Amino acid sequence: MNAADRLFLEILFVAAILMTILFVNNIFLYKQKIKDRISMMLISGIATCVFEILWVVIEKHPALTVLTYLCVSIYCLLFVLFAALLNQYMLERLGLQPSKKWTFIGYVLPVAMIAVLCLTTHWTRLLFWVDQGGEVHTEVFFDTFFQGVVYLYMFTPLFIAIYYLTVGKNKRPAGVEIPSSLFVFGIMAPALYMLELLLLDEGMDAYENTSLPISLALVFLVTNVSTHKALNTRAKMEAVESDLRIASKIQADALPTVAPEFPEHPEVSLRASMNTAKEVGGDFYDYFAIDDYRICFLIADVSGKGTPAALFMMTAKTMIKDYATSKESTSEIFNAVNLRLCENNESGMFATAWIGILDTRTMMLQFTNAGHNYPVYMRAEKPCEMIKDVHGLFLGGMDLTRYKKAEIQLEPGDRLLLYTDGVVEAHDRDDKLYGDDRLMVMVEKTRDLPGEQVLERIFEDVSEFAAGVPQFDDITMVVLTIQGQGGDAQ
Amino acid sequence: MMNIIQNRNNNQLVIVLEGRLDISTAPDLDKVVNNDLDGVTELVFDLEKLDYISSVGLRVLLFAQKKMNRQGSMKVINVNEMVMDVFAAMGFADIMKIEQK
Repeated sequence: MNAADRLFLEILFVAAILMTILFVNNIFLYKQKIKDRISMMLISGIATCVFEILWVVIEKHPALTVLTYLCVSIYCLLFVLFAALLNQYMLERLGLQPSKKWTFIGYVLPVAMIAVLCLTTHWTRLLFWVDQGGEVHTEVFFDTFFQGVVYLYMFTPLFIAIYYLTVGKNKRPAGVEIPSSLFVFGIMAPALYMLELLLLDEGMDAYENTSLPISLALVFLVTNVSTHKALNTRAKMEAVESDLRIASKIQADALPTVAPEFPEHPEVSLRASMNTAKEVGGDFYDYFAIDDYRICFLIADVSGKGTPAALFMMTAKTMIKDYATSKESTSEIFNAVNLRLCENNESGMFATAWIGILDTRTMMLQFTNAGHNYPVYMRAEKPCEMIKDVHGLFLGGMDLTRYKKAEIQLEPGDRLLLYTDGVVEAHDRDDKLYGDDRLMVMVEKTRDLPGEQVLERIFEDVSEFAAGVPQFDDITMVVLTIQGQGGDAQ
Repeated sequence: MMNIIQNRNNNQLVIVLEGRLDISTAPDLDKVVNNDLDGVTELVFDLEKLDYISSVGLRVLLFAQKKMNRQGSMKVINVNEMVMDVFAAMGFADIMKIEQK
């Protein structure tokens, strides 16, 4: 083997290794499948290099004539395949999809003809032939037909791109950008080819079919495309993240944050807290004065998480407030809200909810529970209990649900704690639930503390219980306290 | 894990649920409810061996109930205490025929 052959082999190795690295990156770094067009293209490119290497190695061995024929034939077919995939890939980037007819004329026919030429070349000597010394001689069809097809494949996308940018400006499919990588590829491949010929200092005929320039140009193309893709994905993700942040902000703003001031009713204290698990959750609460005497407060938990839950929550919350001012009782409010939420509720979302209206003249509390967790009711001088009333299915479940209501007479010193699943279904490391009993103990323990401190202490206790376990659900609580005579609880 | 056993007898379909009906198993039952209720006028869920039901599972049962309201009747039988508590808390007792164990 002479020096030129050895140099040629080295170049081929470099080309094969480059494409292998690209392939590995494409699969592992960019998480593409083997069937991905870039992967397929690279596989055929690598295989082309391998058979070209084989060709150089076994050439000039008279005993291996048959193998040489086979090797060069496979090389030809792989090279055409590679060029065809490259062509299709770039056309796709230009927004072009060849029709069936053109696929046949443009891809099937030329490849079939090259296959036929390869198979018969031993007799026809049209493409190439191997002499008695084992040396390969390429023939006129090799230079015209075979190489013609290959280069046509490689450079038609470039010409189409130029056409789109110049005379065919108006014919360019909407939304298609001409990738700059295409032009660099189109200039790089022939430029490298010339450089290689110059460096090898050989005649134009000697090594005109090396894959290196194409491989190098391909390195640029693929890297460029992959980076572009990655940047695009990142930009999209940033947009989504920013949307989520805004959604979260809108949602947080929708909930009353300051402690409500009911100056006419200093004996009523309402406090709420919410700790969301994900950026956007489905819990909500609300409190507001309906008129001079009545105060409405509620808590709810929307099924599911994320943006759909947040959207449903906003709808439900707005509706409840709307109907709270126009309907007479808590059951009627829920009847109306439920009916509206059931309209076109194809996504099957629902919300458990608990609503109460306190008449400050009589301290009578009217309430309706739509499948929500039982509130903890603490009376002065008495042990805590849960109000285990359910007045109907969750909101958004069944349009015909008629909700019922109940009433309790509150006294000074009474306290009512509303909460969501996130509290009692918090898990510890052993998958044990926080549970109703532990919550009741906490309410009992904090009996003499003002409302906001009760919420803080319970949240601390839940966090302590679930230490080391990521918070799974929103933790939301509302506490109503009727101040004792002289306001000793606060 | 959950097993779904279907016993079809003409227009009656008995679906036996064994295990846990939660977020990971509910889609399987959802498929059954969506695809296998054609021509069923009497649907029975046997929950004797159901250990746990989450809100996602309730949603599927609710969906089945809505479907059966249009084409026949549905009842849930052999409900154990734990599952019954969940049904009661969510207000299912009002909209479904439920028979306890």
